[in-house]
Amino acid sequence: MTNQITKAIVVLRACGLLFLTTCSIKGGGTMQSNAYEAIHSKIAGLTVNDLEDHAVAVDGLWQDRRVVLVFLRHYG
Amino acid sequence: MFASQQVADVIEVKPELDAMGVSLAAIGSGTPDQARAFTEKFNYPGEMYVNPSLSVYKAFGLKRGFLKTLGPASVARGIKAMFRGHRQGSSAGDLWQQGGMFVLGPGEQLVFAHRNPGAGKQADLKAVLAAAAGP
Repeated sequence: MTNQITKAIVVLRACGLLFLTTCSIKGGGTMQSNAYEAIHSKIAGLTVNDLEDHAVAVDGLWQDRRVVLVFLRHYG
Repeated sequence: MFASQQVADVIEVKPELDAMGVSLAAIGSGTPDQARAFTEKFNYPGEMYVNPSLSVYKAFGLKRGFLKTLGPASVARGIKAMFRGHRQGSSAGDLWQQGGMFVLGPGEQLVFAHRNPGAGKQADLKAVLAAAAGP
């Protein structure tokens, strides 16, 4: 019985630690040396629409310039 | 509220991006009309595009799911965002889709990638600026 209680306490402490860790992970990006290849084939042919609802090739957004591209969650 | 927080953050660094000659573009998951309303409400100064099918979100490996949005860590960040003055307005677009931030170009260059692991888990803007200023 004592062992079972001890095990339960260990599990609960582990869950609490996991919760706190999940809550406190810091944000941050990752520098990529040659990461474009990983997305190149996936974005080929994909489009987004501008505010006039015209299709725009997504890779055209950075073809001739550097761009910070922000993917928003829902509007709100 | 996280989208408004995200936009408020990038608005702050827009002058620095301008000085570097770096453009700012955003992609949302709603309709053009919803995106236009959001742009006007928050005075977002960059280009805005929409991708309701989420195909581009998926291609960039961005996460989507109920727990990513309403898990305990996301709720904690939501409370923190509220204290910073960001309030949840009427929502438009995909509620469960997470966002991210990338620095790309010119040409076939991806120099920075951040995929939000959960709601409100934004990129480090200092790292974004450093990447944008790089070669």
